[in-house]
Amino acid sequence: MGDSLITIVAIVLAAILMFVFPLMAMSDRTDDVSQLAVETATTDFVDTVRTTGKLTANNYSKFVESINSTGNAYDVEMEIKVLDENPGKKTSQATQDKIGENVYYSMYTSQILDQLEQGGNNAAIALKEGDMFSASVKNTNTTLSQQLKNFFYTVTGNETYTIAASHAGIVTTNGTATN
Amino acid sequence: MKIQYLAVVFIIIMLPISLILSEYTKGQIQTLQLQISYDSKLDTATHDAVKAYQLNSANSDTSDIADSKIRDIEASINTFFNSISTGFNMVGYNEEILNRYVPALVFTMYDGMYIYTSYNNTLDDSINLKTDSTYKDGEQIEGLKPYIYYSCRYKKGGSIDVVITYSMDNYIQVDGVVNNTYVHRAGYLYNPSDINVISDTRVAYNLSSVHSLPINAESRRFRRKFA
Repeated sequence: MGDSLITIVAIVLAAILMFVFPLMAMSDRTDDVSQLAVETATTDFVDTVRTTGKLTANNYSKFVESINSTGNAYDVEMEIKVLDENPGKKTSQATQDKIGENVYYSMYTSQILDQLEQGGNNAAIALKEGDMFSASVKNTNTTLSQQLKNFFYTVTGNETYTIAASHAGIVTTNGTATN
Repeated sequence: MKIQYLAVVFIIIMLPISLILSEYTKGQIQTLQLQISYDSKLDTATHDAVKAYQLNSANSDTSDIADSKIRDIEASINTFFNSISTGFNMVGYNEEILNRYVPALVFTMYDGMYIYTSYNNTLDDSINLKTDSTYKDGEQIEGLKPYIYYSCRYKKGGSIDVVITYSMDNYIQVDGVVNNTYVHRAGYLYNPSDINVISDTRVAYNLSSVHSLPINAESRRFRRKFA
């Protein structure tokens, strides 16, 4: 009796050690690779917008395509802070194009996407020097490593994500809305 | 003891060790990742601040006037904090909150620097201050300090007492007393060995060797001559 019990325990432990642990390690590494790919894609996307001064539907769909190619679903949040002509409260004298003295108003993901969808394939949002653009990406599906972790320790809630990237910066060129 | 027991005992010992080690490694990796992400955000913010200063001064006709320069720098500082708050997804956190975490911002210019940091505000008219005034005497506030020149005073005995103002390249300015006469000289500093005196009014110098000399070596040599 004692022998067979310990054999079963040994078999279970061996199964966990030989199959589940490597699987967990592998899925963790897959997430790491996805994380790196998403970070690179986000940085590239934001930097393209910053250096060209425009956000095109083409660029956006390429970006979404490249992050989705990691095999996960993502939630992309974008924000354009448009440099307004109105001065901030600290300024006594103001020039409309001075960066850093004026207030910003924001355009968020839904507004940006609306504008891009209305324009069709060649849609573009033109930005100007001093505007700020930021994008952040989070995974919405449960990755394999999350599933395994949930199965074993059930510590992760619904709102958690393992793959996330964000990048932001000032726009350095006056863009034109034509492609 | 049977081999199954040995295996189970081995696993009971090794499993916690490997789990703890993997947690430790994970912690290290996360720390590194956080460091990299903070570094990149700070880099981006600094780049944005410099870019804003460049654009502001390029678009302005008066950017070489001190007032205007200060204004451009203050705008650049605002951009830095704006960029930081955007980068860290802390929209709404303004300069006053963020500058507690930023010890100083230094703008190194051609012949001096501006430093944005906290300082004790001193008000001359402290007696007449009302209790509800915006600033109080001796209060620590963050702001741009006056322009600081890259200058140094050199004194040797009673004969030489000068202040030398350095710049980013070979241009220097000397003010002070040398052998009881007041001097005010400014110009580019060259290595004397590269200069050939042709006549009383004309000299020739080897420009290529001058440019290849590091500035530090130049100023050090100069300092040695005077000090």
